[in-house]
Amino acid sequence: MTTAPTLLSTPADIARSLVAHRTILRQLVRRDILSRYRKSALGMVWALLTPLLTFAVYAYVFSAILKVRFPSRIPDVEYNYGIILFSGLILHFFITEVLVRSPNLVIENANFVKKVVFPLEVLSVVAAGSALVMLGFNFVVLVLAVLVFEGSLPLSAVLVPVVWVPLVLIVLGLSWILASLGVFLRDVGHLIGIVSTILLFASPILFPVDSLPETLRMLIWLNPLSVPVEATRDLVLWGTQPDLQALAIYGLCAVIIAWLGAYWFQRTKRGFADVL
Amino acid sequence: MSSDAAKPVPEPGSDTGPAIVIEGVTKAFPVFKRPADRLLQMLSMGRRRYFDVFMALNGVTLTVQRGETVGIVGPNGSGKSTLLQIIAGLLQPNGGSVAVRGRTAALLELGAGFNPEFTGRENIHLNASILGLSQAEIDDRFDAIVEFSGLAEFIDRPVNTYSSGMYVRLAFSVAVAVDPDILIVDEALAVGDEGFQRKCLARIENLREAGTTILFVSHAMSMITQLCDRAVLMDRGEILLAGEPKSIASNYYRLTHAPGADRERIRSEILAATDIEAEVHSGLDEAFANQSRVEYESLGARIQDVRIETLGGQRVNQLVRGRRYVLSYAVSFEAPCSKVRFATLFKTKTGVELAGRATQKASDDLPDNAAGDRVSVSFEFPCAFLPGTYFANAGVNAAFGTERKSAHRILDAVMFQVLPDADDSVVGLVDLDIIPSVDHQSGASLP
Repeated sequence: MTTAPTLLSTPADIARSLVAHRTILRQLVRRDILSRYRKSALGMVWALLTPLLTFAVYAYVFSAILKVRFPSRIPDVEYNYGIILFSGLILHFFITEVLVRSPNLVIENANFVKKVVFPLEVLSVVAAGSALVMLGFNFVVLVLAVLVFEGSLPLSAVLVPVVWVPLVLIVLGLSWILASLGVFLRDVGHLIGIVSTILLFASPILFPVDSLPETLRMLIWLNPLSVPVEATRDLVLWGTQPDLQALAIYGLCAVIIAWLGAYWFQRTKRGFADVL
Repeated sequence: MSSDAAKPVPEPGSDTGPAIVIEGVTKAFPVFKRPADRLLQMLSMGRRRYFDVFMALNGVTLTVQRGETVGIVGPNGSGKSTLLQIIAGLLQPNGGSVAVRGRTAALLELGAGFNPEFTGRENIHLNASILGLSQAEIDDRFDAIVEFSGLAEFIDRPVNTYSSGMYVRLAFSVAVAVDPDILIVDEALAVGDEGFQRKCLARIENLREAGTTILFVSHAMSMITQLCDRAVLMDRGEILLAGEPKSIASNYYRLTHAPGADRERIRSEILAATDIEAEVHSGLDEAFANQSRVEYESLGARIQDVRIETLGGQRVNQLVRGRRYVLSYAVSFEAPCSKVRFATLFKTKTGVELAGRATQKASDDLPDNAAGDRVSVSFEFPCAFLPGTYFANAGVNAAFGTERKSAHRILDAVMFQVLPDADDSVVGLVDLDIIPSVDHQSGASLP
């Protein structure tokens, strides 16, 4: 009845499915975001309040109490460590949120597998899309913090969405793989927590890469967060040009991961109904 | 699996062929001990087997014509739902071929896409988009959906505050608003209160008359005989018999009421029988003229436009046994009448009074009508009459002083025919839904 998905046809299949199901996609992302704040008295205010409070805690603890210093890219300029930390953390929040949810996406929606004709590949896109909206709110707080504490924002900050595109692709690819694996191996969910901690510590979020020995530095670059974190800081904090070569390689890897993830998902989803 | 498989765009010129063609479909469910075995199986490329096999469908062949309503019956576990899931494109068959032409809406579980935390309004939007409507179409039909559900005052409350009946009403209202070419319904109609069920049946009749192909599973034989043109009896993954709904229903009873020891014998008897694939449709024969109509003198009321309609509102005089119809008429009052009630009476050609019904008991507190009042009266009835020609009277009865008299009455106001069908197991004038069962004891085992 349907031909098996092939590696080559996958990107076109996925794109077609997402265009055809854009109404569902929009409905589900909306529902996902609204459901976070449903029944809370402040409602959507929390979307800005949470990152604001998070930032306040980090800024106070690290800058005012611990007085931690993080070398700035601009010589002789002391930069607020709270802001530097927050600029990296928001990307970590983004990837963690999607990865933690992914293994349960299909399991939680067993009805969509067995009872209605539903484009399952949309579920990962919804998770990523909803987390992306949250990232947007976090970014607004970051920009506000930069303006308040540093007085000015480099113009290059408007380019941030461009350097985030590959990260979103990687997150999508990983989400598809995890969503599928989660159906067959329920153990996957337990691994994600520890992986997320590793992603945080093996990245330039908490400390500059330069402070590490040469051998470890290479490992840091394998972390999908490292390149976008550095690029985001370049654009928003230092106002310098990001490492274009690194971004190019990173972008290429991102496309490959998203492609493989989509292929894996499309290939294995026929088996979901048999085990759910 | 992809949704494209279930909702193919109709090819040009394909609107004449059958809506669904299933040939030799088999479905084996691998029974995996652990979910991880399913993954290993996929990765092993068939070099090893990690599962046991359960045959859910074993060579099923079925063709459903465009606009046909087909019911699928059978004991639990006979493969009915699996077949529907394959037609809906949710499951892939292991063998055979499935061709489905037209936009398909599958109602395999009502409210499968509902989120309990969200309001009725939000769930309508979500569920309708899952069923394949675009944003513009949803906006267009939103009011009609709410209206049909009758839940307008609850629509902005979360559905987890709904009663289960209300939940189902909302889900069904969304599903029938989709206007599919092919509607697939699994056991979904046996819920909701009686008023709503009737509304659903009327809506399904409407869809039928608009040419929708309907395929549904039910254990309610009255529903099958009422709605279907044809029925299919399934057992253990096979189609035992296909044909006229009434006879499929009686074979279903034979099979399910069979005592354990006889089940196999009865099963093979049914399998060996070939049913006439009769399709009986209600219809209107203009030439079928009523010549015995007698109208009484009017005493202040006048009965007009006595007619029989399907639940969908289509006027008919050829009825199908087992279906429900509505006899209705209008009454206009030319003079005041007190303590009025209305009645109808069904009779055979020879005048045997079979069944009648008044709107109220004579002892009830009956309403008065003023001159100029217009009233419409309707009687919904099951067509339990055996094939033949029948008549119905219509009457208005009022109090004149201490005496009750007919304010107006028409004898043989309508004449109708119950169409012949292939079921010869029922005899007499009316079908009382007698359920036979035979306990067979072989002579050899007796002392």
